[in-house]
Amino acid sequence: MFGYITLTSAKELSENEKNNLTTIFDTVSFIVGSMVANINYWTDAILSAIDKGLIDPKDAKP
Amino acid sequence: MKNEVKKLKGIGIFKNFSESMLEEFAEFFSQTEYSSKDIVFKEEESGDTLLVVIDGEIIIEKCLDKAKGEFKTLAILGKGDFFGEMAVLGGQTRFAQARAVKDSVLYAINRPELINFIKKHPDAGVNVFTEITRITLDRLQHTSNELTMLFDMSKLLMKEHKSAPVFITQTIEEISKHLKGSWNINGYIKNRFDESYDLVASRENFMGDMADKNVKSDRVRRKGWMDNRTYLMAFPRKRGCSAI
Repeated sequence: MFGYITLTSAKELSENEKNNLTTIFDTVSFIVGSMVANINYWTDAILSAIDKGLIDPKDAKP
Repeated sequence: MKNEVKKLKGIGIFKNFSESMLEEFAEFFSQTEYSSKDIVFKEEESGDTLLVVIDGEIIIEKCLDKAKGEFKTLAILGKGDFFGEMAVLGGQTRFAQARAVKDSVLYAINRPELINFIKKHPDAGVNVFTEITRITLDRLQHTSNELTMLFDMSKLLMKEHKSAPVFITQTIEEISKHLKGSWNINGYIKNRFDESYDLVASRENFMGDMADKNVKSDRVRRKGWMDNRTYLMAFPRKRGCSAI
């Protein structure tokens, strides 16, 4: 796992409230997870390229 | 019959039915039992039945990728909820798939029988349609909320992000704008040097009990509700990468 987000409600939620939120949270989780994976992939790729001397650290843009 | 009437009494769309009406109505219902993972109906199937969840849990899902078996969950329905009304009222094919996620008991009534009953009891019919409209409007509002949040999220995706923690911070800010009530939202990224997770972003609106800060690493693999207050969004490590 790259990471996670916890969302805690101040009040206890009913099954219906939880069900409604689940569909939204699942979608956001999918989008954010893909984006985090992409950011980490490119960060690793840039660091590796710097390490191999393929690019100048000054030109590296995250 | 008494047992059926008892079950129908607790269902929203029948709340204004008299005992005798329910008894008459119950005759038209057929009871079906589904095991967990059973498909109630498939997307684009023809059908003319309205289904009521008497027990269990049903997921309504839309297929995203048939070959990969990927679905987007549209709704999770429990005891007392109904579904299938689009096919019954609009005469359309099923817009999405319905699948049992727990062992479930459903009552089904088909369109001709529902219409006949309503013709015979117009007052009850008004109540049924009012309740169906109310629930449909609730579902429309829910979809609109989700769409608005996704629109805001898409703007976030178009921005340049220096690191995953920066992106998580902005995501948390965005999510918090759309949530009703008071929420504490915390974001964690795996430490590259050990197995721990570092808190990288936090938006707290009430004094928490710190419970969410102690998510065990094996629990992090499973997204979903940890209890009646806390939802965990987990970001799996993916192989390869798609261009943004």
